[in-house]
Amino acid sequence: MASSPSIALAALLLAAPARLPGAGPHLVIVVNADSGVFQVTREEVRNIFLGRQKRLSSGLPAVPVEQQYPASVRERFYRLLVDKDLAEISAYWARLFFTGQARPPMEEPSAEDVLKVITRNRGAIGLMEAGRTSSRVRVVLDVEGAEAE
Amino acid sequence: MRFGAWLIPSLILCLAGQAPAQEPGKRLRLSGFGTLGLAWNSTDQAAFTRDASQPSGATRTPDGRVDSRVGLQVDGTLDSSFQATLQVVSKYNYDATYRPEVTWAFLGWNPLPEIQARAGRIGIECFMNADSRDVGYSYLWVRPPVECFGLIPITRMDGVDLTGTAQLGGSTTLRLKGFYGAIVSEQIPVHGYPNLDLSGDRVGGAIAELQGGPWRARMAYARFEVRRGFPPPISDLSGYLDSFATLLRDPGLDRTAAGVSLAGGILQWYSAGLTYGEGPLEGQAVLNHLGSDRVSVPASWAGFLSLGYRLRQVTPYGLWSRIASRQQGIPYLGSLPSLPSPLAQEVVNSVAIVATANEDTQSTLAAGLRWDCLTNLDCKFQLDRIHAQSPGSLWNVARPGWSGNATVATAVVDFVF
Repeated sequence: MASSPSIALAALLLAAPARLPGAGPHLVIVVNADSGVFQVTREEVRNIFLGRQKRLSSGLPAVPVEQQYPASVRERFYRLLVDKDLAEISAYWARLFFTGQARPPMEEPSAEDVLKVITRNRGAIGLMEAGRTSSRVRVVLDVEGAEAE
Repeated sequence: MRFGAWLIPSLILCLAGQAPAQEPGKRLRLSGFGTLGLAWNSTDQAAFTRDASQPSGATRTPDGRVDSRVGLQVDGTLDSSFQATLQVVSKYNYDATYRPEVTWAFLGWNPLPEIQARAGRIGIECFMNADSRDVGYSYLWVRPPVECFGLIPITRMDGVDLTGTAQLGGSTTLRLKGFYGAIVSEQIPVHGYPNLDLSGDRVGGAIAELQGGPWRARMAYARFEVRRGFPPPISDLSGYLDSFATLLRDPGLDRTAAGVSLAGGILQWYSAGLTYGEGPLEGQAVLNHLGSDRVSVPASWAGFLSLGYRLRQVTPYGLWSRIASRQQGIPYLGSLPSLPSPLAQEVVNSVAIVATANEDTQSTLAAGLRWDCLTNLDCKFQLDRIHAQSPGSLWNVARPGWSGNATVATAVVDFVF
């Protein structure tokens, strides 16, 4: 049960969909191997990374984490996820953060740091490059894949 | 209720001091926001202000005071359930200084991810974006529409709030919030008289917000209990009316006395708002109603419609906003106008001034451009065409004979870090 969706996803990743030319690293969403989560929808990722959904589907408190990517990579992530520019995402968080309502996802300096956060925290859900994940975490969504829902 | 001013900084330092060794620096976060703006008004007959707390505003000399502001925020985190926040903002104040004010100083507790309780100095979210009005980077315009945001510039309280969020299946989220507290040192200049000081007045309310896909809908209610109201000599007016009521045995004048005084008054704020953001399109509609049981602050309806369309880094937008105060006329004065007494005549004249001074009926049609020129920095230009049929507290002294028409041109730079 645990492995089949992962295998399906791995197969999905190997047969990586055609990427935009010059689009940069291939982005995936990963979770802790003990999170009880085997796949997530784009809708869930969108809601978790915008601070609207507070829990993973398994019931654990969600802790979204991003790597401090160059603006171009983050721009592409949010473009794919919510069809918004980075400036709009920054404005969105400025409203919530400076009113003390919510905080944006944690940002870690490197892929290794993102992995550390995810392996330490069962509720962590992170944005990573496909080639930088490890067996300690589980890939649950190919951000660049075709809309699955 | 001054506890927030020193308690929260100590808590933030205390929380930071307890940070686990493996994650240094993440427990304490310094952030900030600001706006540098210049506003120019086509007329010298009335000074354009951003809200009723500003003691003077923009005329034909470009004015940097109306929109410029800077804020610093420190956030401390102990663990996933306890946080503390301190925010200080410097802007052009009611006393014509830039004296920094502690806007937020609260301790937040999340017993569950869906529940947040906050205590200390917190923002009053009485309508959409009410508590983020100083953060220019967070919205499209150069300033929130004055017709909706300018009349009652009450932004913060010492008190508590409780927020709960629930996932209503699929992507729809419901957020409910209740709040109660005492307003913090907010004063409204009254031209030629001492300021109206609302500090310590009680405020309570509730919000319901639905977020689903590109839509965000929200209803809010807030109730303000005014304790002191206007200072003398305006407050003396009620005393004189009371005396005349006794003297003339006219209970109608008693009612006028109570209506003229703001002391003991109840102001009720009802607000409904809707935003839409899908792809390059960004729309917002808000309708507010101020209910009042006092002649000195007339009931009003206000609202705005805003639409922007993003073209890469540039977002042109249009905005229409309007406020209409209840035209209440002169309250009952019985036989006072015909009394051969100079004091009675003075009272009659003063009642007429108090009853109409805060009547605001005006609309603004604006067009602007937001240009996200750098990461976390934007430049905006906006042109407002304002028609004030009844310029009240939104203008800093409109001269008699002013047509009520003005064009205001504004350029701002907003940033966050």
